[in-house]
Amino acid sequence: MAREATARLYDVDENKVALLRPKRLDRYTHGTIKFQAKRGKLIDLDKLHESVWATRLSKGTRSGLVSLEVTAVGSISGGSKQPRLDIARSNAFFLLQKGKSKQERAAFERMIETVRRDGQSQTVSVTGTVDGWGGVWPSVLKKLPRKPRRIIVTGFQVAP
Amino acid sequence: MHTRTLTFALGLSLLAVSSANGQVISGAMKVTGVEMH
Repeated sequence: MAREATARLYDVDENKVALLRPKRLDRYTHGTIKFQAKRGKLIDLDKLHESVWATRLSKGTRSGLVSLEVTAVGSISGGSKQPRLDIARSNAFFLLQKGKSKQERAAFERMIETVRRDGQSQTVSVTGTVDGWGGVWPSVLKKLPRKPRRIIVTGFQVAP
Repeated sequence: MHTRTLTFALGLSLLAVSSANGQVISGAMKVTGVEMH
């Protein structure tokens, strides 16, 4: 149901929504719903939350949201203490945070170093885990995660 | 089944308008409790 809820978002390319189930544990297992925006469009996370909420997923199903990882494109401002990603073609932004794992810390530091070296005006692509998006149904659906949105950086690259 | 169809229709009507304040170009939502058939 969460996959269908994602696919019906206007800005999501329904042909590029896939449910991946890498490991079968029992009848109820885990999976990853991958999605991508239509060409030239951006996906609003509020709308994504609203769409999953509309499925009325309920408790007692042993199901829930583990995490949401997103990729966003824009320019970085704010310096190394509290960098933020200002989304291109939108008024939205993310506050960028350093994660705890070695890979996350490396990605964050590479991003800061690149911006310090090359300047803030360039367009970059940042991938990260959205803070606060996790929990069991339906509690995770009852209210929107806090804003401003924060993402823990897991990947970074200068946009081509 | 009827309820589920109704829910999908409701979601469709709510979300038919494109957002002018989008944020991301792609994503991956990890979920638990995927029912195997």
